[in-house]
Amino acid sequence: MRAVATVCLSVSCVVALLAIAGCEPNRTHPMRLAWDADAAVPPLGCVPNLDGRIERMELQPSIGTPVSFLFSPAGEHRDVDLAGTAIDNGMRRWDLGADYGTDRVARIIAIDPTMQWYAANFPTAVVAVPTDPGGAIDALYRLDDAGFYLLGLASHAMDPPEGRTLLPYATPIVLFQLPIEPGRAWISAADVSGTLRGLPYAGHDTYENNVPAMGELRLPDLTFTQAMRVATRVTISPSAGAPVVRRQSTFVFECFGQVTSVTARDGDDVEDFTSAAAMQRFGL
Amino acid sequence: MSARIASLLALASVLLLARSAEAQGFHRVGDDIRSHQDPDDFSFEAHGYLRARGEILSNFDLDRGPTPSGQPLFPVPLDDGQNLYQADMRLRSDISIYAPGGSVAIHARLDVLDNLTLGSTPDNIPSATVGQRSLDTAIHLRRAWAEVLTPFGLLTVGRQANQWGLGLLANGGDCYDCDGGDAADRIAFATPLLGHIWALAFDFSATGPLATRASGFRAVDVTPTDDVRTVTFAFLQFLGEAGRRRRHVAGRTTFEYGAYVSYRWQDGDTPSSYLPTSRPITPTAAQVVPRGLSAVAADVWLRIEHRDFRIELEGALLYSRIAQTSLVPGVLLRDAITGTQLGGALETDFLPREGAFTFGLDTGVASGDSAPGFGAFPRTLQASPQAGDLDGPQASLPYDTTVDNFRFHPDYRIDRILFREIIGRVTDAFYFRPHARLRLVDAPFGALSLTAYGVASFAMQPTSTPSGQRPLGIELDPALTYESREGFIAAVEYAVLFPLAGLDNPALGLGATPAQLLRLRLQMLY
Repeated sequence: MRAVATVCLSVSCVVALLAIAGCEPNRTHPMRLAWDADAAVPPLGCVPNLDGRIERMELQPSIGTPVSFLFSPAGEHRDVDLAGTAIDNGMRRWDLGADYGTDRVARIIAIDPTMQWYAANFPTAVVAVPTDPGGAIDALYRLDDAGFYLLGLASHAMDPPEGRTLLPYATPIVLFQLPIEPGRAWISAADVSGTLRGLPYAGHDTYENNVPAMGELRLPDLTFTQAMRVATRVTISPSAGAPVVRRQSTFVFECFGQVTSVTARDGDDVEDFTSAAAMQRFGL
Repeated sequence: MSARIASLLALASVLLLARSAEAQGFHRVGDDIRSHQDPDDFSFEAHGYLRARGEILSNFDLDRGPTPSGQPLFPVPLDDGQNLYQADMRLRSDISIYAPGGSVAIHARLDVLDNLTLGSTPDNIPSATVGQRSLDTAIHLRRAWAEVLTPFGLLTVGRQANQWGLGLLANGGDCYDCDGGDAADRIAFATPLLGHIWALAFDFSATGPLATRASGFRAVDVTPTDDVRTVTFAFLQFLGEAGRRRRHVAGRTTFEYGAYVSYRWQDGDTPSSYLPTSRPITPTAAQVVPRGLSAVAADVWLRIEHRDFRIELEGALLYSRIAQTSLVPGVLLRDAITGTQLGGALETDFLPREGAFTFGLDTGVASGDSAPGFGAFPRTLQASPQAGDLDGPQASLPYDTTVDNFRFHPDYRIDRILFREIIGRVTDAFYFRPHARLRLVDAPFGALSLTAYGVASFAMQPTSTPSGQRPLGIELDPALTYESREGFIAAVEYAVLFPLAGLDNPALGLGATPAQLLRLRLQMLY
């Protein structure tokens, strides 16, 4: 029974130790967050239904979520096949999956425009997205049932070293007319005036868009099986100087938004251009 | 969507780490049926227990601050201090019905108020409560299956226990202190032949999504291609507790062994039917995605027992491949994910078990993965862990396409704090566990025993630990247990974990400090 008594005494000591330990402050406390095992796993707001069209609910911006894009370096031209190849059910296959060692990965984060210095100039904007890997220029967008609109451009910082940019369109440019589906076409034009890198600028931009096809888009890290290709012809007409025509093809996927954009050299006025001056591709 | 894309990889972890088809208790080939072979005997048996546990958890966050992801290693008291208090209960009933003739038996397991935290359902605000609310889900039917003894062998059908060997990989959660347990929706056939038991099982591992039939009473699986199925082939030489006891008394050495191999596969998947979404989604045909899952598991179990010793060993190898890990319909990832996982455990006891003193040395190893975190419980859509995090998915496309950490079953316990509570299970680690038992009192009314074990544990991959160091901890786990002859068990369990460098927080300059546990477990058996 001596052993039993020893054990009981030990247990008592343990209880006392625990009681003493329980009175000490917790060193984790100052940096503590409430325990929530599921905190890092928010539910998905959108799951692609692959119904052959992209509607407003499938184009909701996700503010604060970082997205990786592969940017081609300035001045590098790449061969592209935007016509693609025909596959089943009238769909196309675009293979933009080549790995380029010169690509740079940039994390793009959509931000809340109401918290930015230019908020008063774009009161209807719902999201601002950096247009370049360095995040120097933000594009301002609005979304409603009928379309996804470009409201203008602004420098991310109010007074960056290269000078302030603030270029609101007089009327919103319809980037995507909703729902996006093959065969749709629309034209949108607006005057723009303001400052560009600290210098006054005025002009008139015309966006001629169509959705020539949907299909499988192959990228280096992943494939989108039902992407919409939106072909855009932009005519930039500065108030002083000759107009410039710029061709761009944008690939849009349900719930992801724009996953790839390919821009032709200025003046290469062919819808299925084959040489890209800039490529921006979704990555992991 | 980048976070979403990254979290697609969670599927890889979940699937690759899911256990492939394990054999259930194939060793129980009709034993209980044979004891009820009276043609007129219709009998009903019920066994089980009521368990109540109370515990004090002291400093389980190790006072080393949060991980880079902002989480403590364990929930910390919101009202400061070091101690957490918990009391819970469970009423378990294993019911068996034996039809006259002795060839058919029906079994079920019911858990009532399973692991219910005592006082967690007040009927009013806490200060005004006068009782506890009844729960809508107070009763959980864990298993329900039938056994039929045929001239050729034993056929089992239904949701049945999944237990094999030491319980390293497949564990039915039958131990008195177990919290979970595996069940398989299975049809199996086992037959004795050439001195061995040979078994073949087919598991309905995952089925759905389902559509309701016109009658409204039954459902039908509308996407057969996304079903997960598993086949298992096993053989074993097994005597069971009664056979061991006979041989033990006769001074004979008992040698038992078994092995199984299982294959699991899934061709397609319908993630929209199970993904956590902010609004309900009705799956469509277009949302069926390719999966290409194939997994093989092989497990070997050996047990040698003599009057003066027991040596038991289980080792398992899992190989898995998921050709397409995307969880988002319409998005296909380029890389497949593979997993090669190896784990094993050895248990030994020396000196006669009916003697006053026994001792032994256990050891085990679970292969690791070099990704941050242990990968003990990766969750669907969880983002990849950062270096210093405790847990998280072990694959991260496109750079890391492997999940190689072997995970012991959470109910295979080697300690009371580190693996059981903080990490949650043994994975990516190896350990040594000396143990001893001293019977203090052995009287006609019951026995009082003192047990103690120590566990020294180390990470297989130092990159998995919170600090990047391999040593994890030294834990001491004594217990005092009283077992009456009438079915009452009372155990006082203590544990202290002395964390080693692997659990420090170098980013914050905080060293991990000891954690303690005190638990009282009361168990009434029937």
